[in-house]
Amino acid sequence: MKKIKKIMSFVVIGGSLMSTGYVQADELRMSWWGGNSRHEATNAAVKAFEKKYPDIAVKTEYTGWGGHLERLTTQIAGNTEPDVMQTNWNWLPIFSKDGDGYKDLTEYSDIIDLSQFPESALKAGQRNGVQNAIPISMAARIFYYNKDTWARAGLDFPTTWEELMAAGAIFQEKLGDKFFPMVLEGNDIMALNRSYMIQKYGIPFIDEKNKRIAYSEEHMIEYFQLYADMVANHVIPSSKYIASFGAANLYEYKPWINGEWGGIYMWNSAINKYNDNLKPPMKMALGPYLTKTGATDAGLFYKPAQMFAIGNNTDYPEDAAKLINFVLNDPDGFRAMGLKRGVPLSKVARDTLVAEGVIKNKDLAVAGLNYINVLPKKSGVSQYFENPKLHDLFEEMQQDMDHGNKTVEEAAKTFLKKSKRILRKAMK
Amino acid sequence: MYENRRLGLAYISPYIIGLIVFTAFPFISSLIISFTEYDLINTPEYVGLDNYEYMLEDDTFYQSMWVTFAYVFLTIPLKLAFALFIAFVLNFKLRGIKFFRTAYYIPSILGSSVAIAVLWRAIFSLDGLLNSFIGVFGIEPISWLGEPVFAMFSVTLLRVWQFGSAMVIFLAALQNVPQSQYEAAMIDGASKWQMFTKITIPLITPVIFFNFIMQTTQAFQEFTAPYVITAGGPAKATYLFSLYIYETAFKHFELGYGSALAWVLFIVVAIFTAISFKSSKYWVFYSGDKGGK
Repeated sequence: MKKIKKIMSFVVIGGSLMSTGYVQADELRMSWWGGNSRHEATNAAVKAFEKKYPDIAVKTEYTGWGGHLERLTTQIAGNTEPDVMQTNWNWLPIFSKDGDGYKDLTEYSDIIDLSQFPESALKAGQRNGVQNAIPISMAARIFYYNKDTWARAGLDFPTTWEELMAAGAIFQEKLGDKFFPMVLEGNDIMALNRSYMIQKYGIPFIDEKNKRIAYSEEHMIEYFQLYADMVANHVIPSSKYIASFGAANLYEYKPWINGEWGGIYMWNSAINKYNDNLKPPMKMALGPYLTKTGATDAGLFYKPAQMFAIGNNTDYPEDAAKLINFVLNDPDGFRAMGLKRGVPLSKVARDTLVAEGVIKNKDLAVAGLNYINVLPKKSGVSQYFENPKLHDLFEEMQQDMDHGNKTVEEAAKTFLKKSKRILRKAMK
Repeated sequence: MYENRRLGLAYISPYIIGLIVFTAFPFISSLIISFTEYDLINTPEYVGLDNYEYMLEDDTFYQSMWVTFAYVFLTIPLKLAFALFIAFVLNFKLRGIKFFRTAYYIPSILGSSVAIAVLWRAIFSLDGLLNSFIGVFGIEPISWLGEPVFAMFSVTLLRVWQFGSAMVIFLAALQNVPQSQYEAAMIDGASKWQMFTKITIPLITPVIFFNFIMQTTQAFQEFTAPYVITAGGPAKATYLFSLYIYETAFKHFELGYGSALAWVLFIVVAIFTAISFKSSKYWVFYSGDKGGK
C-alpha cells in the first residue's frame, strides 16, 4: 500500500510539473557585454545564484562592446541565443519588430517582481505592447574628465563649448602634442554634435516621419564642421591618430591609461570601466554639461542603459526569469552586481544599496545620474539614431575628412545622401 | 558487390553528409538569399537583381575590391618568394637543421589566430615594439596603423610571416629534385645561380603553381588580420572584401546584399584561378612534358 502511495505521489507531482510546462534547467546560458569590472561583478552574482539554486548551473558568455551585436545577431538568427541576455534599447526594433522576438516577461511576473520598476522604465522595454525586456538602469552621455590631467594643464573643467574649444591649445602648449582635453570616437562625436545642434536649433537628428535625417544641408555641414574644428583646435585627436594605436576599446589604449586623453563624453553607467583603467593615482571627475547661452534643452542622449531579456528559444523560461529576478531584485544578486550596470532601477535594490552605503553620491555613475536628473530634457532620441550602418557611414565620412579625401561640405552632403537609403531600409 | 558498395558509402557518409550540410546547403542558400532583402530575423523578401545593381553604385564595393586585389598582389609574391628562399636554405645539410625547420614552421601553426593578430597590433602600434626599436636609432615613431599605405603593409606582413605551410611544401619538392641533375650541371661548370634558375625552379614549377593557387584563394578570403589589427581602417585602407561581406551581413543586417557580395568574390576568385590554370601550360613543367607545352 505504502509503495502504491509513493508511486502515486510521483505520478501526481510529475503530472503537475508537466501540466505547468515547467522544465528544470540543468544549465542556463547568460550573455552580456561590458568591461572587466562588469564581468567580475556579474560572474560573482551568477555564483551567488548558483549557491541559492544549486540545481541550476549558469554558463556565462561575455565580451566587450565591439562585436557583441554581431555575435548576438547570429545566435538569434540561428535560434541559439542564450536563455538570458543583456540587450540594448535600440536592438528591440531589430530583434523584435512586432514584439515577438523575446519572451513576454509579464508571463513570468510571479517570478520577476516587476512592481520594483517604474512604469515609464518598463515601457522602454516594451515592443508593440509586449514586455520584451527590463531596463536595468537609465543612462545618458555626459562629460567626465581626468582631473589629474586637467590640473596639470592648469584648467578648470569647461562649462561652455567655447571654453572646450579654447582648452585644446592650452593642453598642447602646457603638456605637449600628445595631450588632448578629450577623446571621442565616431559614436561619441555623433551624440555630442547632436547635443550641440539641439541646444542651438532644437532640431532632432532623425525625422522618423519622413524616414530621413532632420537636418538641412547647412545644418549637416555645421554638424561636421564642429568635428573638424575640434580636431583643428587640438581638442580631440583625429580618427587618424587614434587608428595609429590599432583597433581596440578606447579605455584599453595606452594614451587613455596614461592620462594623455583628458576627458570623454560617455554613458554615466559605463564610466567606471574608463576610470578603473587609468594609471593610479589618476581619477576621473564629473564635468559640467556644456551649454550654449539661452539653450532650453541640453540635448541629452538619455535612454535605458542596458536591459535583460529572455531568449525566445529558451527551454527554461522560468529558470531564466529566476536568474533575472535574482540579479535585479534579490539582495545577494544586486549586492554582487553593485553599480557595474549603473544605478539600479529596481526600487528594492536602490533602497538597499543606499542604506548600505554602496550608492554614494560621490560615485561617478551615481553623481552622473543625479546630474542627468536635473538637466533639461525636452527632446527624445530616436531608436534609429544608433543604427549601426548610420554610425559606420559617419565614421567613414569622419575618416575621409581626416585623411583629406573629403572636405567638410563633401562629407556632409555624402552623409545626407547615403543616409536616406539606410534609414528607409531600417524603418521599413 | 552491392554490399561492398553500401559499406563504401557508409564509410564516406560522414564526409558526404558534412559536404551537403556545411558546404552545399549554405552555398546554394547564399545564392538564393542574394536575390532577397533579408535582415536575418524577418522573412526574406525577393528583390530580383537589386542587390547586384546596387553594387554598381556602391563606393565601398569598389574600394574594398581594390584593397583586396592590392593585398593579394602584395602578399602572394612576397610570401612565395620568402617561403622558397627559406626552404632552399633549409634544404642544405647543416647542423641542427631540424630545429630550424621546426622553428620556421611555428608561425604557421599559430595560424590566423586572433592572439597573433593582437600581438601584431601591439608590435605596430604607435607606441609599440617596432617604434621603440627604431627609436633606438633616433628614428621618429611611424604611424604604421594610422597611414593607409603603412597599414596595408603591416597587415600584409602578418600573412607573409606565416609562410610555414608553403615552405614545407617547397622543401618537400626541393628534396625530390634529382641530385644527378645538379652533378651533371656542376661537371658542365654551371654556377649555383644557374643551377637554381635552370634546374631547381623548372622542376618545382608544379609545386610553385600549387602553392600559388592555395595561397591566392586564401588571401582573397583574409579576414582575421584586418578585423583585429585595424578594423579595416584607416579610411578603409585595409577593408578587405571578406570584412565587408561580414559587416554587411552581420553588422548592418543586410544578408541579401552580403550574399551577393560573397558571390561576386566567389566569381572573382574562380576567374582568377581559371586564368592561372590557363597560363600554367606556359610555365608549369610536369614530368614527362616536352618543353612545358
